[in-house]
Amino acid sequence: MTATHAAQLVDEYLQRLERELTDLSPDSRNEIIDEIRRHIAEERGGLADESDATLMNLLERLGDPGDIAAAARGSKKPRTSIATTRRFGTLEVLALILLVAAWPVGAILLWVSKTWTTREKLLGTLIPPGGYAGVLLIMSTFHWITTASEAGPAWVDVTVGAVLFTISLVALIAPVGMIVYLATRLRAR
Amino acid sequence: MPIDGLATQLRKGVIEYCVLAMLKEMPRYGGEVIQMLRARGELVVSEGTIYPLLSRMRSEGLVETEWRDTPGGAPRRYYRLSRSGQKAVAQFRDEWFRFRDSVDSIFRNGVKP
Repeated sequence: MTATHAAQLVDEYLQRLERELTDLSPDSRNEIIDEIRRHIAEERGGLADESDATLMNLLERLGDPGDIAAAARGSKKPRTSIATTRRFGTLEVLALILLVAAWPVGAILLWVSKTWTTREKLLGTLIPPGGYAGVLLIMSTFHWITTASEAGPAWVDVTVGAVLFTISLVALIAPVGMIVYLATRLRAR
Repeated sequence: MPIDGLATQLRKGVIEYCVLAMLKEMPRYGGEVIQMLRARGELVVSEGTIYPLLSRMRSEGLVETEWRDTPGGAPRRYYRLSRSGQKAVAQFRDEWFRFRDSVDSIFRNGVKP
């Protein structure tokens, strides 16, 4: 075998290795290629009689560049996992603000966003229905109830008053609570 | 599972610790580790995979490296076990003996109640 042919075999091998390692950081890539180049040089130095066959055996023992690249990636997660992590941007922030400020628009944006799960979207839409507008609408019916209860005995009036007060309190906190919940879901994954 | 795949899976789990264990007595260079593995048979198929393995163990802090001159040759990168590498070897050793004993006892004695 001519020296040029040997050099060609080795070069081809190292070039294939370099191509297979492109997704590694330059530091790791250079380190691995450098070590393998040294390994080949050293093993060749130890060969009593270098022929095509002995050199090819040497490269075959090293293994397929694809296998070496796979070992380099090792336990690190494949790159596709980055795409499945949650991302959020202006759309999600707007959705959260408008759920409070302008409920119908906020609800639409909530459903347009691909960031929340369907379950989270349902919760966000239904608790409370209509956002603050919905809450105020519900609370506006309360005076009918209080008027009606005033007609009855005093204890009924007091009980109804207490229940309505509690409902109002919960209804006023619920939208803010839901926004906080949806926001934490954004950061959860 | 085909038996070839089985051997690959088994190797994958242990090779890293075998390499670490080989660095326990003294620092060694990659080619030396490969020769030792070769002498012990079936542990590694593609010898070149040892280099990315060593590189990864270095970035994980399990080994440290230094260049050393060789008489009449190019300098070699030597790998030395770090403190956390020593810990990993010791942990694997315990785990492995327990694991091996359990498997051995099943295959030697069967599963009599």
